[in-house]
Amino acid sequence: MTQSGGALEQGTRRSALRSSSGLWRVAPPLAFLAIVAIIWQLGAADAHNILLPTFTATVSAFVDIVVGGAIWEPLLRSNLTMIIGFVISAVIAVPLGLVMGRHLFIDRAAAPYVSLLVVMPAAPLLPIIVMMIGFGLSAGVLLVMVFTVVYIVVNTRAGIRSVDPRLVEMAHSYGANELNLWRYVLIPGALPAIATGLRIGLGRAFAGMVLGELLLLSSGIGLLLLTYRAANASDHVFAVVVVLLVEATLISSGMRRLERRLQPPSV
Amino acid sequence: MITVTGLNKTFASKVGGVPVLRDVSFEVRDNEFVSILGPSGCGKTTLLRILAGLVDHDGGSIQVEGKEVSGPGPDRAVVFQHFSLLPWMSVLDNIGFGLRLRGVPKAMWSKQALQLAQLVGLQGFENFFPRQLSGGMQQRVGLARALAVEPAILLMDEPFAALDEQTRLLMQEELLRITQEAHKTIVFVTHSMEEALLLSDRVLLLTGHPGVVQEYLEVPFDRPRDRSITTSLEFQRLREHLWEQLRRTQTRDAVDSSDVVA
Amino acid sequence: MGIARVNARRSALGRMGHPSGKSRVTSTPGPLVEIGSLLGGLLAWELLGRVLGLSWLPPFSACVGALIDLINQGLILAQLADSVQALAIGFAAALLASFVIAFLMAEFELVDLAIGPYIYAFFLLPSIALVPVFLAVFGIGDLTRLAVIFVYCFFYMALNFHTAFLERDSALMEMAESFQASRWQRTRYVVVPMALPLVLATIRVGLSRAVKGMINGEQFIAIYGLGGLIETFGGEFAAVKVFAVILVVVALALVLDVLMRLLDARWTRWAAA
Repeated sequence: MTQSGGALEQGTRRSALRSSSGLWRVAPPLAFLAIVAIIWQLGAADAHNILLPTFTATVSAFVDIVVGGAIWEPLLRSNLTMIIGFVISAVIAVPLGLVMGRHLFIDRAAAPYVSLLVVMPAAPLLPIIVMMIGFGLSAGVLLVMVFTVVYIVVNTRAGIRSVDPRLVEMAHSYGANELNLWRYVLIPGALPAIATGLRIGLGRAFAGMVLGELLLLSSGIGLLLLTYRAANASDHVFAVVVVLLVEATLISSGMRRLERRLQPPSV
Repeated sequence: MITVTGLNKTFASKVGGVPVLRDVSFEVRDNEFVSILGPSGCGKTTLLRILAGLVDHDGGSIQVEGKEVSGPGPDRAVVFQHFSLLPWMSVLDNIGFGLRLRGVPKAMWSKQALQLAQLVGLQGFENFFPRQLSGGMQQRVGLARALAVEPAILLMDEPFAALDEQTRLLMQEELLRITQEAHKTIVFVTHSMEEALLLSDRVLLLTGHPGVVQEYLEVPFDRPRDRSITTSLEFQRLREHLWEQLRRTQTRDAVDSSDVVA
Repeated sequence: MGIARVNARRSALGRMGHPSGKSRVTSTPGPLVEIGSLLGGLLAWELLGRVLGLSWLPPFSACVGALIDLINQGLILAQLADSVQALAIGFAAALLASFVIAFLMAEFELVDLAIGPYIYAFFLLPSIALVPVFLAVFGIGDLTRLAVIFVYCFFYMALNFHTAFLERDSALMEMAESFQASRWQRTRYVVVPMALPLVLATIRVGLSRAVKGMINGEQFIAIYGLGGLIETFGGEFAAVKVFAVILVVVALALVLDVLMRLLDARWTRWAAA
């Protein structure tokens, strides 16, 4: 039995290491980050390439745009696009998903378009959007919507589908009409999935916003990045990306917290 | 008074109709406790769902107090096998659900729900969520919810089948106690011969595919009852008799299906 | 849609499939409704295009006509080949890298602890945000395109492969041990078949992400590939040509998706519901 229970042994080793102390959770990722930072710093300094800023240059550029304030106005502009696009998407997508979850025919009719929107890239539609409504705020909003709508629809629909049909039958047996059914059974049952859809949707909206900024270069972050690139200030380009990553992380964790609140009560 | 005459039911399927009930006729008197007993697949649950108005029937008639059943109605309430409690509602809200659907004001339904929680032994758990309760307690909520709408008829679909043995025995005794206090007409679906004999005034034995009425058996024990009757000779004799009937039809079914294969 | 199965770390992607209620779907003639809906959509596109006469909404037939013209001019196939080549290189690199990383994470806990949080964080972040970095470092060129394809699918696949490698049914492993299966035999008969459905589903979704990365990357660079064509024609405000290229992109995405589905269905028949 020398080679017995690989999985089991590993299991115990795993839990021992993981539960040993909080340090084990924090130290390795920090060490990894430190190694990356050092390699980055030395590599970039060694490369003598103006396109590749060092770690420290990026950090100081980050401080510069955040404290100096160059980032805020463009960031606000871009986020306005995202928020408008997301809200409109939610207003369209949640009811659509609810109806699809309940009505088989509508679901079937919409299915090919839903699959198409999930599989196909959204960005190629951008030139068409521009021809339609120009380069302004609404183009960005529409792109955000193309990115977002389908994911909220799919999750909302799945939420309605996941409601136990026995609960629907029970409500019927107590004389529930369609309105009662939505109010007491279907909507509460689908709520966790709708929350998940909105979280994923906001992530998608962020992606759509960034893509729009990079391709439309109209205003906001996209214009800022273009300015820095034109000036060969790649440390500032990196810093803007770091800002974007921080914002995405904040959005994602905030939405997760919100989502957990909407989960059904458990033991 | 429930009167079922010549009831037929066929389920549609891809390969054609599957008959589940054929020419079923029986009646249930007011305040009578009737069990529908049969092996799985004999259509007993379908029969109950037809009585509840959740499923349509194809032929024959079902009358409650002389009126044809065409859907769920306030005169009947169902207790479900898998409890079917709304997970996002507290015990109290679940019990009051049927009343709420009828537009009863909150003050009234919550008062009534409190009383029923007491009746089924759930006092102190009113604000718990179903997930926090054991199976037996969840079914107590299901029972209280059904009693809350004050139906003349209680339809129970294998209500204790999803519970473990001890809890099931306890719940049977609880049901005997509760029905003693609240006079109800009860139709109770089960596959357990003991359960049927212990609880019922009459046992409707359903057998075969499609289900037909094999026998409508009178259970001659006085009420109030308790579990002590199960040790009596009479109880054993009735159990033996039911088993004989079930075995005969089961073996016949087995021979039938071997014919089909051949 | 498979993403339901590829359910990395507490439903990071949420529900994307048809998790329940399948029974309700069976009774109606589904494909007919879907085909009808699709044909109706195309018809509506055609009619609206003809009646409204909007510059950005040419009728469907005009787009197909433009596509045939472009193919005859040899523009489409050359750029398609260029795109697919980049896709193949970028995706293969990401596949290999994610497989190795996931394996190391599954085998060595220190690796998991050190880089797991970053893989997860970058999986949650929109990969698009990294594009300015690539543009800055690699410039307007092929490396940027490859890097975009890589990041679009790498983190996703690494995370899911990791889940797949950890997915070991201890009851089945015990069973195999009770039959004195060697380590190799346990891997061959238990571990690999267990992981296969998730691995294949991951590759399929990863590939679809890579296609998106390819197009987006090409649109940023705006020189070559199908994305380059889209930007060029978009700059000319030639809506018919843009739609013609979009048709090719959709066809490419769908063909790859269907191919992966067929492969999946063939190799993991036992897992089908």
